[in-house]
Formats: sequence, structure tokens, C-alpha cells
Amino acid sequence: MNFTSYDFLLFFLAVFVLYWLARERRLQNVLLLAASYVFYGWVHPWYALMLGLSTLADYFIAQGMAKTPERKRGLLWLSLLVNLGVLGFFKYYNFFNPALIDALNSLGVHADPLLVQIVLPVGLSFYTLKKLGYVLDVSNGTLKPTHSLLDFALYVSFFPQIVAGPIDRPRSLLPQLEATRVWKMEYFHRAWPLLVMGFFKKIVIANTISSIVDRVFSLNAPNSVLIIPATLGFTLQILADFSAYTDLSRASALLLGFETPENFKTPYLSLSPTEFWNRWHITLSTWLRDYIFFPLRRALMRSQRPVPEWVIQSAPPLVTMLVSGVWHGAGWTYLAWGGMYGLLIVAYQALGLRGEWKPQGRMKVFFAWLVMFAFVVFGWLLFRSYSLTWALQSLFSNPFASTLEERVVGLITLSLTLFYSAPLVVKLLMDRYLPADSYFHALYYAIATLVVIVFLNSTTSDFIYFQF
Amino acid sequence: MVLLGDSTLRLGVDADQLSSALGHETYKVAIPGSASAIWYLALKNIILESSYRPATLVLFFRDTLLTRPDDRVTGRYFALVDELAGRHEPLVTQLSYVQQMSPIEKIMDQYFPMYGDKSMLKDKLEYAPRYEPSVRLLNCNQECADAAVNTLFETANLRPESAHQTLINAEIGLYGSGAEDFAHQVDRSYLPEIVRLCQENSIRLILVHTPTQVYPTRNSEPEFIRRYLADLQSWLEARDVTYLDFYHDPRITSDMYLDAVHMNERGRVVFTEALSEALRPILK
Repeated sequence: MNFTSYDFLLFFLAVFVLYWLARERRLQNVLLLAASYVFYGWVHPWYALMLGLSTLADYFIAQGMAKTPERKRGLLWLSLLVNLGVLGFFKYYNFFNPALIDALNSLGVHADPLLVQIVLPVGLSFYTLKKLGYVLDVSNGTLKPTHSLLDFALYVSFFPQIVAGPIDRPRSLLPQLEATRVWKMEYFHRAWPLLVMGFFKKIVIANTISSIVDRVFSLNAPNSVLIIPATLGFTLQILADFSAYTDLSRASALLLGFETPENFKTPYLSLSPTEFWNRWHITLSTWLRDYIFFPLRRALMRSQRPVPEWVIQSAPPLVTMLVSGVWHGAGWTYLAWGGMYGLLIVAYQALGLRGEWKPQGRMKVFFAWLVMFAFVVFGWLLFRSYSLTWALQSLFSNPFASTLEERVVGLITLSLTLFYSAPLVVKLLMDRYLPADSYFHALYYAIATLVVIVFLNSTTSDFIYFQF
Repeated sequence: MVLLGDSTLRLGVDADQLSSALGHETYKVAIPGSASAIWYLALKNIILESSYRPATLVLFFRDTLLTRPDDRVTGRYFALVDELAGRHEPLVTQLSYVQQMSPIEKIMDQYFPMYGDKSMLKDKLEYAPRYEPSVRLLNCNQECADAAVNTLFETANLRPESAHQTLINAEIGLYGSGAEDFAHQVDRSYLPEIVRLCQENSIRLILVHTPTQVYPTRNSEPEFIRRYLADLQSWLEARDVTYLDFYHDPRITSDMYLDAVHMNERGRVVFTEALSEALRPILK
């Protein structure tokens, strides 16, 4: 179910009313769990069955860790095997599928490609990380496992987050699930701006710009005068799309009395790759930092055999970003995208430009931003492209060999990208320079609501991050 | 005899070959991107309004297309609907647009004046950023810019898998969302009106289910499609309308297609032959 669909509106209204009528915490949680499974199994009920089974497995694994600490290591490996096995199977099966079919054919077994296509269950990558975070925390001793299967199942399946995050941590969400929740008008006041901005960014910006960006990326051999504006368009589209999803997710959670984490903090204003990942998809990057980057770095530093300093410095960011790339999807483009950020972080660190680095002087800041923004846009080109060869051939094609059609469409794409990014820039400036209680904020939301109505359509496309 | 359909008819049937095989003058009205709303309008406003009415109308359709009044009526297809529509087309407004609105959209349309003009407002809002830069920098006006977009995104310029996906996405609208429920859909579609118009004007209506490669074998075809086609056939028989099904015709093989739905030269020859064989006894 899509947050911007009519189905979801009716579903949420029903859940909202019943939930606040329930009053009693346990009853509220039962209702939310049922709603989450209905939400998740709406299209394919077997998704919900798989979610239920994997939730049960991790619940009992965590309980086992608490009861028999000596078996903790084995149980942790079991959880890793189950979670990563399922994720790997569904996510990467199709990538290796052609090779598998070839192998079967060479053995004389006829395999119909259509029959062996596997559909990735939506949200699998997100809830797998949530469950793994829980099991790893229990295994490290930093979290006591919850005894309530209901609370744990709801933590995993909480419907505002299940499809595309934010990837909430057990230490943040579980205590909220265990606490009494009473309706406050404050929830609505805080959720309303998120709802307006969520709908505005998805329906007005992301969906509109995607109609031209998607077409350019479907071309056989676009010229650089076409691919550069289209990549800028995608840069806007993916931010608007994913941050819209997060806003709507947070707003839905808030209306049910839950505080959930932010995922974006003006990422395109970053001056370095580390800063970018501290501002982009924050819940994923902090997950990767806490469960891959830090443990790997610690392991290298404490290694019995001395490890060279340059390996300690470069291996953790490289491995972490490669994992981030692979997590997004099976394909060389994702791997290259992740690898590019890993190399960038290593290179910036080698130059002494670490996390919170900021040069002195406005011109230097501007150039630092420009360089980083160019890397970000190049990264999105790799991320969105059909193949690496396609991306590089398009980018480095001779702009003077372009046709009039390519120049015209390139110009339209660039112009529409600038036009649709203007409302976000205005919002950023308002947030930065106007007091929070200024009437201009209310005016902005009122205009945004009117524009959403103008752009509203009975069919709206899925959010980009659903596919991951 | 008039043959009416979309691009699958344009590429799949040779009108001259059919004319010589049947000894009937055949006229082909193949409108790429058309669907039931366009066919209804073409019948009502062009075929029936012409001074020379055909004795037979052969309508070519794929799967559930006949009972999907909402298919290909918005976006770039709207211009085609607008071109064929008369001043007042209450049936088209009702079946293709109002009927498809969600309850919220209906309320908005009724009580919020801006909502009814949303397409125009959106076009106005986007006009300057879409066209002004190319007028000023490339001396290319709105017509030139629209032509550039259409030329650039022609199927020939797309990656084969993107072209295939575009086609599949267009076809996927024919399945799901209740489209397969013939009994529920038929009264919400143009089919009863098309049948009535033909019968009242003494035009013999023949419906042809065209072959495609969406479900290449009978085994791969979902059960609901078979059920839908059986219901359609019974419904047509009850109204004395001829129905010809070429979907799994063994004479038309997979090497006779350009893509999932369009036939190549060889396919056109074979399908036209098969069609003429089926039509000959009917037209005698």
C-alpha cells in the first residue's frame, strides 16, 4: 500500500480511530500489529507470512541468547545466516539467474526464465536490518531482549516504517512500544507540516520530474547534453521522493504517538563525503557505521598481527560503503556507486578533510560544496544507470555532436529541474532565516496544499526506495 | 468493410491482401495508441457520420481492452480523444473520466472549483519553464519543442529492454484492478454502446481477439483471462455478434513478432491469411 494512495488513506483513518479508541497499551499494540500485517500483506499475503516466520526466528534466537549466554555466538551466526541468507536469496537471485539458467541448460535441464524469476518482497532489506540490529545489540549485551513477542513483532513490522524505513533502532522504538500512549493535539500540529511536505515532494516534485528523467534514462545512447540535466533531475527526484516517504512515515508514526528518527538533513549542502553520509539516509548510514564500520575498525586495531595504519584507515570506509552499495541492489552500478563513496571518504581523509571539516572563507566553502555536489551527482548517474558502460559513454559523448532534439529536451529537463527545486530552496531559506512561528510558514504550507491538489492524480507511482 | 484497431492492426493486417482474398473493399482505420474510448468515438463520429457507411466493422482488440474505458484516455492520449470527440460527449466523460475518479476526487471535483481545471492550471504553471528556455536559447517554439520530445523518445531510440518494459507497462493495465471481471466491467464500458450503434445502423460487427506474445502459450495464460474471454464470447453470442479468437492460433508463431504485441512482415502475411480464411464464410 502506497502512502499517497486512496487505499492507504482509508486504511490509516480506520486504524487511527480504532487505535485511539482502544486506549489500553496492549490493545493498541495488538491493533497496530494486525494493521501492520494487513498493510504489508495487502498485495502479496505470503510477504506477511515470511515476515512472521523470520520475526519468530529472531525473537527466539534473542531469547536463547539471554537464557544461554554460552551459546550466544552460535545463535548470532544462526541469525546472520537466516537473515542474510533470505535477503541474499531474494535480492541477488535474479542477478545470478541468467548464469543459473545457462548452467541448467548445459546440464540438459530446460529452465524457463519466467518461471525462475523471483520477486523481492518489498521492505525486506529494511526490516532485515532492524532485526539484525536487535539481535546484534542483544548479542553485544547492550540491549536486554524484550520478553513480549507482541512488542518485538510490532517493532519489526511497524507499518509506517516497514516498506522503506526509517530503520529505527530497538533502543528507540521498543521503549515507546512498551509505554502508555495518550492522544495529544501536539501530535497533529507536528505531523501536519510533515504530511504537507511529504505529499508536496512526492506528488508535485518527484512524480513530475520522474516523467522526463525516466524517459532519458530509457534511451539507447543519450548525449551528454541530455544525460547531465537528466542526472541533475534524478538528483532532485531521489531526494524529493525518499524524503517525502520519510516525512509521510514520520507523520503517520507521530499521529499514532511515536517519535521516529529523521533520515535527511539537507544532504546536498555537504562539503565532504563523510558529511554527506551523515545527512543522507541517516538511519542506514548510522546502522552501517555502528554494525560494520566501528566493529571492523576495532577488529583491525586490536588484531594480534599488526595491521598497517593505512589499512586501518581505508578498509572500514571502503568495506562499509561497498556493503551500502550492495544493500541497495544487485548490479555493478550499485557496487560502483558504493565503491566511489568508499574511495572518496578514504581520499578526503588522506587529505586531512575529515568529518566536520569546513574551509575558511565563503569562496573556499563554495568550491568545496561544488566539488562534493559534482561527486554526488556523478554518484547518482552510476546509481540510476542501466550499466557502467552506458553511463560513461553517455557522460563522455561529444556535446557538439548532439542533435537539436537532444539539446531541446536537455534544456527542458534542466529548466524543469531548476523550477521544481525552487520550492525546496525557498523552504530551506525560510527554515534558516525566519522564526518558527512566522506566518510565512503557514502561507507556504497553504500554497503547497493547493498545488498538491492541482497535481493530484488517481494513480501515483511507487516510491523509489520500495525497490530496495 | 472497415477494420478498426490500434498499432497491432496497423502492423498485423494487410488491407490490400485482405481485399483481394475476400473480394470486398477493405478500409483500415488503425490508430496507434487507441483503445475503446477512441474506437467508440471513431465509430460514432466518423464511421457513422460518413456518407459511405460500411456493411461490416471488424474491431481488433487485445484481452480486456474492450472493457477498459479508462485505458489510454489521459496524458498524451487525451489529445486524440479530444480530436475525435464532439462538443458534448457525456458517455465518454462518464465512462472514461468520472467513473474512474476516487470518491475524494469526485468530492474535490464537485466542491473545489480549482480541481476541475487542474490540468489547465498545471500546464500554465509549467509553460514558462518548459518552453521559454528553448524559445530564447534555441529558437524552438512550443510546437518545435513538443516535436523534439516526440522524436527523441520514439521506440527506435529506446534501449530494447526499456521499449519492452514500456510496452509491458502499457499492457499491464489490461490485467488486475478488477479488469478481468467481465460481468462487472461490461456495463461500465463502451462495448454495449458499440454493439447498439452497429446494430441500429445495420452494420455487421465482428470482434477479433488479436494474437500477442504476452502469454505465448495456452498454459502460461492466467485462468482469469480464459474466464474473461469465455464470458465475453457468451455475451457476444447472446447479442448475435461474431467473435473470432486468434490468440493461440498455431499458424502464428513467436518468430512472427517484432515485440510482445506487434507482428513483423511475415506475421502480417500469415495473420492476414488466417483472418481472410475466417472471414470468408461469414461474409458470404
